[in-house]
Amino acid sequence: METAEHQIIQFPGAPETKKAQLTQAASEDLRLLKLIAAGDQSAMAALYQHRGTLLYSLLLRMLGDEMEAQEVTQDTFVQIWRRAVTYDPARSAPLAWMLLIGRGLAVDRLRARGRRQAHHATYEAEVASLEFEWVSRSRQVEQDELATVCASALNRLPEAQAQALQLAFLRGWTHEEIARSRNEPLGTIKARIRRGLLALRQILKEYQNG
Amino acid sequence: MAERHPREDEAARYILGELTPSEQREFEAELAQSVELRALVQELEEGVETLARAVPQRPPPPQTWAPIEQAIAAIEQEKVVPAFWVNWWRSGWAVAAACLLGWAGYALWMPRSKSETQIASPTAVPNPISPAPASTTTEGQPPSVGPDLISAALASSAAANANRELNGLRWQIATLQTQLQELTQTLSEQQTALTDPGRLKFFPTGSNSPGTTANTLSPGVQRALFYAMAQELGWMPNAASVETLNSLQNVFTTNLHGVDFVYLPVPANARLAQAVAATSGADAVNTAMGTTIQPSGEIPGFFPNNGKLVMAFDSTTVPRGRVLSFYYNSLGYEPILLGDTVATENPMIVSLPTASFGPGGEISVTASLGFMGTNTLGRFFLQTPSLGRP
Repeated sequence: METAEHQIIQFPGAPETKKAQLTQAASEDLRLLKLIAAGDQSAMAALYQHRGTLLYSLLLRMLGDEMEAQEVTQDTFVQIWRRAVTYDPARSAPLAWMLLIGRGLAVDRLRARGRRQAHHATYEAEVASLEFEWVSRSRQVEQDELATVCASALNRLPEAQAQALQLAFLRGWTHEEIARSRNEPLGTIKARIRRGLLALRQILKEYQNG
Repeated sequence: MAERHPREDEAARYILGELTPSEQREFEAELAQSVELRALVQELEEGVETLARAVPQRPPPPQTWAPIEQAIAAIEQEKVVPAFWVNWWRSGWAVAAACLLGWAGYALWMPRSKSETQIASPTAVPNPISPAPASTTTEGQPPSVGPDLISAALASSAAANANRELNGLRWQIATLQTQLQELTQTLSEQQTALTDPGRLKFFPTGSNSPGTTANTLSPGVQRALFYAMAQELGWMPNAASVETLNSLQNVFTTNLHGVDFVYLPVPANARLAQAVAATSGADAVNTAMGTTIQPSGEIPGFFPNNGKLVMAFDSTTVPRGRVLSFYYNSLGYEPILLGDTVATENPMIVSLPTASFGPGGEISVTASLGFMGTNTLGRFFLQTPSLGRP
C-alpha cells in the first residue's frame, strides 16, 4: 500500500511541476520494484525502459567501454531482480538503491583491471582522463534539461571537491586513496566529499522547486 | 540537517561501500538509532542521484535487454532447486510413511486372513452354514444368538474388512504412484538446474557404481579437496602444515578478511610431466595463459560446519596467471573484496569465513587478467543454505 507521501493529486489541466515529475518518477520506480519483488517480469521490462538509459550512461562513464558497460548494465538489472524482495523503501530511495548496485558492480570491474598506486601522478592522470571523457562524451549527446542542470551543478562546485567526488563515485577511489594521493588529511577528504554530495543535492532541490 | 552527528563523516563512505563489514555493522546500528544520521544518508543519496544524472545520457544498445530477460528466466528456474530439496524430503518421508502403512496393513491383514481361514475350516469348527447341535446351550447362561446368525455376521464382517483393506491398499498404491511421479519430476528439475553454468555446485567427487559416468574433477582438485577436508576436520596438524604450505604461496596474494589461500605443491613426478608437456609444444603454455576462461561452472567445495566455505581450484578451473578474487555482495552496497590471489600451476584451497556475514548476501568468485577481462566463475547465495549445505 502506498503511503500518502507517494500519492500525487493533480487537477486535470494543471501543469506538472518539475518536483511533481521527479516525485512521479520515484513513485513509478517504487511501484515497479514492488511488482518485481512479486516476480512480475513485465515490470522488469518497464523498469528497464524507465531507468536503462540512466544506468547505462553512468556505467559507460565509469568504465569507458561500451561492451563492458553493456555487460554491467545487464548484471545490474539481474541483481535488481534478485534483490528486489529485500529492498526497503525506508532505507533508500529506489533510484539511489539501483544506482548504487550498478556502481558497486562497475567498481568491481575497475578494481579487477588492476591495482592502482595512490600517488599524485596517478591522481592527476585520472582527473585528466575524467575531464577529457566528460568533454568528449558531452559533445556526442543532446542533454535534457535535468541532466544539464545536474552537470552545471557539478561544474559549480570547487574544483578539488568536484574532482574528489568524481574520483570516488565514478572511478571507485576510496577516501584514503584520494587523501594519500593529494597528501591531505583523511578527515578533509571525508568532509569534502560529504559537503559536495550535499551541495549537489541542494542544487537539485532548488531546480525542483523552481 | 540541524545538528552535526558524530558519525556524519562516515556516512559518505557508508553509501559508497567503503566501510569494512564490522564498521558497516556499527554504522547501521547507529543508523537505526539516529533520525539525524538517517536523514543525512538519504540526503547524500540524493546527491549521488544528482551526480549520476550529470553524466551525458546515452541509451543502451538494443541488444542489452535480451540477456537480462534470459537471465531472469534462468533465475526463476533456479528457484525450483530449494523447493526440490523440500519436496524431496517431503516426498521421501511420505513414501516411507506410505510404505510403513502398507506394511502395517499387510501385517494386520495376513494373520486375520489366516485365522479366518482356520475358522472356516470344516475340521476345526462346525460348518457355519449347517445348523449347530442344540446341546451347545446350557441352563443358567444367557440366551445366545443362533449359530447361523453368528456365522453370517462373521462372514459379513470378514467380507467388509477385506473390502476395506483392499480399498486401503489400492489407495496406498495410488499414493505411491503419485509420489513416484513427483520424485521423477523433481529429479528432472534438479538435473536441469545443475546444468546451469556460473553456479557454485556441490557434488561428490565420483561414483564407483558401474555404468555411471565418473565426475570430471581433475586429480589436482581432488587432492586439494581431500587435503582441505582433512584440514578442516582436524585430521592434520594444522598450524605446522598450513605454515609450511602458506610459505609456498605466491607473493601476489591479498588477504583482507581472514581468507586462507593454501597452495599445494605439485609432486615431483607431476612437475616432470608438466615439463615434458611444456617442451612438447607451445599449446601447454598457451592454454595456461589463454585469454579466455571457459568456466566449467563447477567449483568443488564444502562447508566444514565451522562457518567457513572451503573451495578448491586448479588450472582446469582458473588458468595460471589469472587473478582469482572473492567478493561478498550485500544488498545495495558495493561488493567487499575478501581477498584475491594469482593462480599458479599448483592446486589451491580457499577457505572463506562466511559466518560473520550472515544470511542475505552472496559470495562471488571472479577470475581476471587485467584489462583482458573478468569472468564470474560462480556465486554462492548465503540466503539459500539448502543450495550449499547438502
